[in-house]
Order: sequence, then C-alpha cells, then structure tokens
Amino acid sequence: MNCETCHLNELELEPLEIKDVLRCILHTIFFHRTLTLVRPKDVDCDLFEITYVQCGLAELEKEVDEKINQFIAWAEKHPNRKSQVCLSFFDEKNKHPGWFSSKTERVYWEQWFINLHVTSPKGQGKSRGSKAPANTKGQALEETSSRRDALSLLIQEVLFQIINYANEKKDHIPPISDRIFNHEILVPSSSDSVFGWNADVLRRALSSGHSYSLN
Amino acid sequence: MAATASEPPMVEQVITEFFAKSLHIILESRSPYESSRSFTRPSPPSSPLSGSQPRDRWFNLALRDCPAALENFDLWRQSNLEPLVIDIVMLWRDNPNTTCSEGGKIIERWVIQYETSKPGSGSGNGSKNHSRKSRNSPAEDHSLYRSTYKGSTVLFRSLHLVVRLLPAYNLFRELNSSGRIRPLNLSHKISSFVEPFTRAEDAEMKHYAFAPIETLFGRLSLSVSYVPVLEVVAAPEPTTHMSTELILDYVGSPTTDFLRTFNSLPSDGIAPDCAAMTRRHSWSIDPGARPSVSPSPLLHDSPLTRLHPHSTISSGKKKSTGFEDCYPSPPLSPSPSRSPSASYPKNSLFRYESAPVVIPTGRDGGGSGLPPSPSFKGKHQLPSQNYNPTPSPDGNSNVRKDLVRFGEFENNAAMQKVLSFDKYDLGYFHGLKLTRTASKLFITDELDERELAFAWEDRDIIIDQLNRVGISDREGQETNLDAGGSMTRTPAAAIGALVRMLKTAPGLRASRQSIEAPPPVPQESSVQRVMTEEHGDAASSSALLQSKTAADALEELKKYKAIRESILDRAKALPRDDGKMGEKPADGDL
Repeated sequence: MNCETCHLNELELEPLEIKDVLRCILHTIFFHRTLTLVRPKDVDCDLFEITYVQCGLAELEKEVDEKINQFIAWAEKHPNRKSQVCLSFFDEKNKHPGWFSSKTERVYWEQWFINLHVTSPKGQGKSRGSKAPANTKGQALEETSSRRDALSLLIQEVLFQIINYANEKKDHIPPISDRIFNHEILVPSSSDSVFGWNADVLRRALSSGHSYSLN
Repeated sequence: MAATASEPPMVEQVITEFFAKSLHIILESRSPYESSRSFTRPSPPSSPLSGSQPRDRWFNLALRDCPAALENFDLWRQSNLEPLVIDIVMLWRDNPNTTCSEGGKIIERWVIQYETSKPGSGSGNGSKNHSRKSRNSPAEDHSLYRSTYKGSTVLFRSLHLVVRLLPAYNLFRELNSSGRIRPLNLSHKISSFVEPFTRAEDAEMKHYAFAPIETLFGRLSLSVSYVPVLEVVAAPEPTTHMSTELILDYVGSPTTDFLRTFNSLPSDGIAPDCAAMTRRHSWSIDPGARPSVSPSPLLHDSPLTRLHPHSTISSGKKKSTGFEDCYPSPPLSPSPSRSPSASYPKNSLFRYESAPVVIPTGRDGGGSGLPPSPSFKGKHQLPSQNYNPTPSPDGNSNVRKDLVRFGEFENNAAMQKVLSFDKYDLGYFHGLKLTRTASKLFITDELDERELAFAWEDRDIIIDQLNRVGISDREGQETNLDAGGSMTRTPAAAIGALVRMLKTAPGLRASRQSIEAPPPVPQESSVQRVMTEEHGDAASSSALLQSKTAADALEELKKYKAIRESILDRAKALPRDDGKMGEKPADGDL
C-alpha cells in the first residue's frame, strides 16, 4: 500500500497564533479522514475569520490540543524556526504472525505535513517595558490586524489544499470501519536535530511511499 | 427514481442520496431559521450516534434537522438524470434601491449532477471507467458501491466545510445571530436546470468544483459558483474612525453629577459616523442588554441608517466591531429609584431606549387626575430631563424626522419606556402590519409618509411626550395645563382621539396586539402607547370619544392638520432660542 503524502503550504505565524492555526488544520484533516459516523461541530477560530469543522470527538480534540501544546513549548525554545507537524494515518498489521504475536507493523497510508514558520512578534522586544505612544500602539494593532487578514487567506488556501487532496486521493484509504483510523501526530521535540523537526518525521518524509514499521 | 438502467441498484441508491445529502448540507447553512428569531438550535448529542436519523447514516454525516431541505424531496425529484441546481439568493427587505432583478441577487449557485457517459462515446470518464463497464459481477458491484460511497463520504465532509468557508456563510450567521432584524435576507431557489448567468454576473463569480465521484456508467459532480465578496450595502461603510475617548461621566461614575450635561453625548449635528452603529443598536434585542440611548437625532437621511454597518459580509464574523465599542455613553436616568429594568417587557422585537421617562400618573402623583403635562415655561432645558437627553439638532423645525417613539405606560410603577425606530425600521415591521395604516393617516407635509407613524392609545391619561423641544409661544398653554389641568383638546389630544377611534379597526388592533404579545400586560388600565413627535406640540388629555365613524376620523384629521399648520406658521414667525427651550418636570418627581 502506497503512502500518500501531502505537503501543505508553509504558513508564517506568531507564537500566539499557533494554537488557532494548528487546530484548524489538524481538525480539518481529521474531519476528512474520519469516515465513521460523525456529528460535525462548527468551530470559529479565535483570531481569524474562519469557521472550520471538527468531528465532535472529545478524545480527538484532547489529543490534538496536547500535541499543539507540545509544539508551542518547543516553539518557545526555538524561536524563528521553520518546523513541521506531521499527521500520519496507518494500519496495523501483525509483523510476523506466529513468531512475535505482540509485534505489529504500522503501514502508513497517508501523511500530511504542516509547514510552519514561527516568527517572533515584531517590535515585541523594543516596546516591552516602555510606554509606547498611543499612535505607535495603534499602528502595531493595525499591522497585526492586516497581517492576520493575510494569514487568514493563506489558512483558507491551506484548507482548500486539504479539501482538494482529500478528494483527489482517496483510493488508498482503507475500507470504512466503525472506528477512526489509526493515526499519530508528530511534533518537533527538544531532542530534535537542528532542522527543527523530529528525526522520525524526517525519516518518514524520505521514505514516504513505502511501508515501514516503528517500534 | 432510476438514474439509468445500467447502474447497479446499490449505486443508484447512493446517487439518490447524494442529491439529498448535498441539498441538506447546503441549505442547513444557507436557509435562515424563518420560523422564530428566538429559535435556538438544539445542541448536538454528545454521541454522534445518539439522535441520528436514518438519513444521517448515509455518508456517516449526522446533520441538524433542516426540514426545508428534504421536505418531499423524494417526491418532487423526478430523476437522478436531472441536475439539482440550488441558487442562494440575497434579498433586501423593503429596499427600493435594490438593483437586482426579481428582488434578489444570486450569490451562490450549487450544481449537483449525475452525468452519464454514453456507451461508445469514448470520452468523458477515462479508461478507468471503461474498464469497469466490462465488469458487472455482484462482487464488483459491491466494490464499486463501496468506492462510490467512500468517495461521497469524503466529498460531503468537504462540502460541509466549504459551505462554511464561503462568504455567504457569514451572512447566514449574521441573519441567525441574536435575532436581530436585518435589512437582508437569504433565500434559495431549487430547480432542475441551469439558468445561465449574465455576462456581468458570471464575471463577478468564482467557481469551485469538487473532484467528481466515479460510478459505473457516469460520475457525480458537485460545483459551486459564488460571489467572492458580498457587498451588502449601497453606501460604503463609514471610514472615519471614532477616536478613542475616555468617558468620564459615564452612568454610575461616582463623579457624575445627576444633573450635569454629558460631554460624551453627541452634540448637535455631528457624529454622523454613529449613524450606522446606532441603527444596529437600535435593534439590539439582547434581553440582558443594558439600556442605551439612541442618538437618533443624528440619523437623518443617512442611507446607512437602514443598512447594517457591515459593508462586506466577509467581515461579519468578527467577534466585535468598532461600532460596538464606540457607542456613546447612555444618559442618566433622572429617577434612579424607578429603574426601568424591572418592568421592561420581554418583547424581543424592540430595544427599549435607555432613557426611561418617569411620568407619574394622576393617581400616582399629586392626585390632580392629570398627566404630568410637560411644560416649556422653563427657560433652560434641564439636562437631566430625559425626555430629550440631547438637544435637537434640527434648528427651528425641531422635527426628528426619523424618530417615532412608542412608550408604554405602567400605572403601578409609573414608568414609561420609550423605544424608538426610524422609517426603515418600520419597513422591517411590515410583516407585522405595525403602523403602516396609521402612518398614512398621520402624514405631515414635509415628511415622507413612512417617516412618521403614530400609535397612540390611552385610557385614563394622555401623557404628553411632545415636549422635547418647546415652542415659546405655547408657554401660556402649557402653563395653563400645568396649573389647572385644562381639558382643552390640543392637537395632540386630537391625534390621540383619532387613533383611539382607529384602533378599533380590526387590522390595526390585531397588529398592535401581535406586537404587544410577549409582555402580557393588562391593556385595560395600565398600558399606554405614546408617540412622540418632536415638533414641539404639547399634548394633554381629555375625555376621549369612544366610538366614531370614519367620517369623524377624517374630520379630526383635517382639524389637526389645520391646527398644525397654524402652529408651524407661528413657529416660523418666532425666532428660535434654544436656550429658552426646556422642560420642567411638572410633578416634582425628579
């Protein structure tokens, strides 16, 4: 089974926006790949004029939030870095039936790479602790607003990228079952390489298109 | 409902449900809840499976109830070979400036189609489909069914998201949020043929097509043409920003003197930028919203006043707008001991103006049996007199052309609530048949017939609310009223009598009752509706005739008009002196 990969457009964002952006993108992917019966839940982004849809599964929301928090913690320690979050879907198969019955093989059938460039807020260091003039603050607010408007459009582009990909590539999706597909969300961790992303992610990116096992 | 004889029955069923589900998803997010503004969507069950309808099981997507979408769908849908075309139409309520034909503008067109590939055509579906056609075993049918079903399942998730990403969704949400009455509405039209757009319409629209779903002998396609930016107002949004200003004299501030003027209130003839936001607030029906004054005198003739402040719907989802924040500080109630909040009716259609007018009744006050006739003998208008918290900007005429006030009088609390709306707002009430009939009867010469509407009902006391701006030559009359409780019929009293007659007309009464329905107040003795025309007319009460004919009504009207014209003549003859105009509480209640 081939592993299809989708690299989403890079988004440049500030730390404050990570949660909103990642929630929106990850839940959109999950919504398109959770083919069990769902009752969709509309969610408004906090910072952007975007309404996206979640599957309405509390456990999934919790899992997503945990991974996002991990990523935020990493981004705080590694400012101004490009990074990736990878959402993978896989099947589990017994590796060697009869030999090690507990061993299973993960057969990845789809991976989504979310490319982010987390930047430091502009002017944050300069104005901190000082009383900036009102007009300067106003300008900063205006800049933030216009930047978010632009980012909002880019996020929507990414959402349409997901929609297009999810509909064009679907023959590889396993048959619909009564449970959501196996998945994992990989975020960079503090032990990662200088590239800013997990060695596993790098390895999988290089080996995409092939099944492999991890244990 | 056979699509073609060739498709396996299972796939045919998928095709049928494909149309139904598409319609449901689209209209669920485009068809406003017409039935009730207070309708709230039921919260979804915690489990995706609980409460799901049989049709929800299709494509594993449980949707909210949307009766309009699927009502008789199976009956009117003739054939799966017909395309399903859903036009989402933006409508303007009572807007004569609507430039679009047929009363609306198509902002989205969804086309759901099952396209067959003719055997032997050799084109259309590619080799993949041709190879399928050679196989038709039950196992292959089932495989094809699963493939079609899975593809449709993914597609409907995408559709569910896309309908929320398009601009019309913001308009839909605006229309459903908070029950406000909007100048816009959304409608939809379902047909089985694609009516071509004009060249201009087509140029304006963007198109998006979902990846088609392949079937054995054809494919299912879904596409949308949409207007990328919804311009929903005729006039541009005001671009002048209101500067941030600290309001030191806000209500409740310990530094606020009860009798001082409010610097933060808009002054004469300025702050046109507030017009739009004022309009918006004038329809706020948040039950818990604190009362706020409507700076209505500033709203004359602005086209924005009838339109939502959002010029572009794409911004409608913002959690707050600048307009919300720059609203002027409300005026101070002159009688804090009689808070209006306790007796506010729950009518969700109205926002009650913040300035509660405290008017004691004859029974409640000094026992004179007269209403607290407002007088203009005072040379200075007391700022705390909230009959007119802001000076009228209109100069001599002092006519607030766009403002009609209705008051409710409650004997027990001696409280009067005033609410206001303008002529455009009246249009919104058209469906309620509010006061159109009455307004036509009470047209003043210089006003548009819709600009004033009167609804005046009194039982025991006529309350004079026409003292916002005085006319100096009426002092004698006012004094007379104050002092002796003259029963002389004033023009305003004539109006009252006339309305009283007219209210017995079935239509008017019915409409009024419909408006008053939410707060069930005993009509016999405690409710009065008072219309205020800021013309300077004074009013008092006298015994009202219980029954008159239409001829009598016409006679009354003629009398009124004659008197009114004489008043106008006198008003024009005398120079205006704002400083001399004022009102003084007649009862010492303040």
